[in-house]
Amino acid sequence: MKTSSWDALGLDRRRMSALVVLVSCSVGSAVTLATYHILGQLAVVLGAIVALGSGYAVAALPRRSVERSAIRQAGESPALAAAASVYLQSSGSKSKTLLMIGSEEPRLSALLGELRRNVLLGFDPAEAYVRLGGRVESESVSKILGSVVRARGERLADEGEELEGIVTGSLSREETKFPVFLTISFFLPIMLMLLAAIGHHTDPVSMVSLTFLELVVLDLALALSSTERARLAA
Amino acid sequence: MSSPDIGRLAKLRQVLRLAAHGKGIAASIVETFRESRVGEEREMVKLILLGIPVERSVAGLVSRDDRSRDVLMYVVNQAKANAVEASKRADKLTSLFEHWVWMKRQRVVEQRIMETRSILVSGILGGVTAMISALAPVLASFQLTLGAPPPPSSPAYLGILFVIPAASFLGFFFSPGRAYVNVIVSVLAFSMVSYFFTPLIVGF
Repeated sequence: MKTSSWDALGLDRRRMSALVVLVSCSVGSAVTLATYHILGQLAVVLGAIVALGSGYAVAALPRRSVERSAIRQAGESPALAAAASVYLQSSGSKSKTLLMIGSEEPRLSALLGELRRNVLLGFDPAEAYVRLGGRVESESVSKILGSVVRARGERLADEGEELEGIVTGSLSREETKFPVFLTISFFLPIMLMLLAAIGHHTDPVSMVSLTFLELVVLDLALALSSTERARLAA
Repeated sequence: MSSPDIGRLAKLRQVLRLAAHGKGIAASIVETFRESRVGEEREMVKLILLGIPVERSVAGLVSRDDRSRDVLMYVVNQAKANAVEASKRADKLTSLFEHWVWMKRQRVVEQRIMETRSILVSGILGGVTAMISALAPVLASFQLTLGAPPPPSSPAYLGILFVIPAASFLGFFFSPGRAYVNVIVSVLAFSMVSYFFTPLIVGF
């Protein structure tokens, strides 16, 4: 599990780790308790698997947020490159260009605001950019800003390659996850119904426990499978 | 993404061509959009002709969440610096955005196909679970484990408890705005199969 996204969002590692452990233990324990009278010792194994899955889902939330941000930034990069080029050509000044460019993506907008503040405080554009510490999520935007602060006459353009790459990658991953989610959603209720029927667990308490197990597993599957869909919808 | 978005991008491209030839942005917008039948576009032309600055005149159009909005914002903002240069660069931008709009339309078509598949799967799920629910008394009579307790009576409709969550999640995954369609289809399939199938099992 890469935790660099936690740092990118300024999340405290200890608190985040505690949250992940707390959530995974709670979900795992709940599943074990709910299904112990039906599955016996197997409920502990199932609880452990669900705990691992839910821990991963929670730990990956910041990464998903950063990825969505990167996609939006990559989508804005062609317009940003064109705007920076026009400003650079019109004003002939790197500082003025940095003061004029803006973004609608909240994280990039905040970073550009910080960049502008540093420029207004008198820092050299290149130094002001270095002070950001590479917090730009999109590679394209990072390159554009780097080109603006260097301004060595290279052509400022972005053809949206990064976004196309991200979209193609997400589509491939979605194609893998789509049948997995479909299979889980289709077979899980059938399997649980069979378990209830064959194992004589058709009393209300057992049925509610099995429904709870189904909800947890489906929710986990949805959380792990819908990453690409959320990314593509961004 | 709708086809009006493509249409607007084509019109904006025309605006950019005119602006690149030295015509002002405001004049280019008026010339391109004056024949438009879209209310927002006609309003924009009216405001420009009344002398309202372009930035404020296009406010009605920039509230839309599409790619044409990005081009429009770019043109309006950069025109203040250098309209001719901005227009030349924006022409490539428009081609790129048109490509993205086309990709998004393809995606919308694929989404609809997936939605239909998920509805079919929900229906089949409802039917299969109803059959297993109806067969539950027969399945319960199988002695698969040692010392199993006698089978309790199990109402055939209990299987719906498993169908509704699965159909809901299928709906949330494939068509978040219309997840209820999956639930309705699966419940209908469950009810129909239960209605026709359960009496056969009881008779058996």
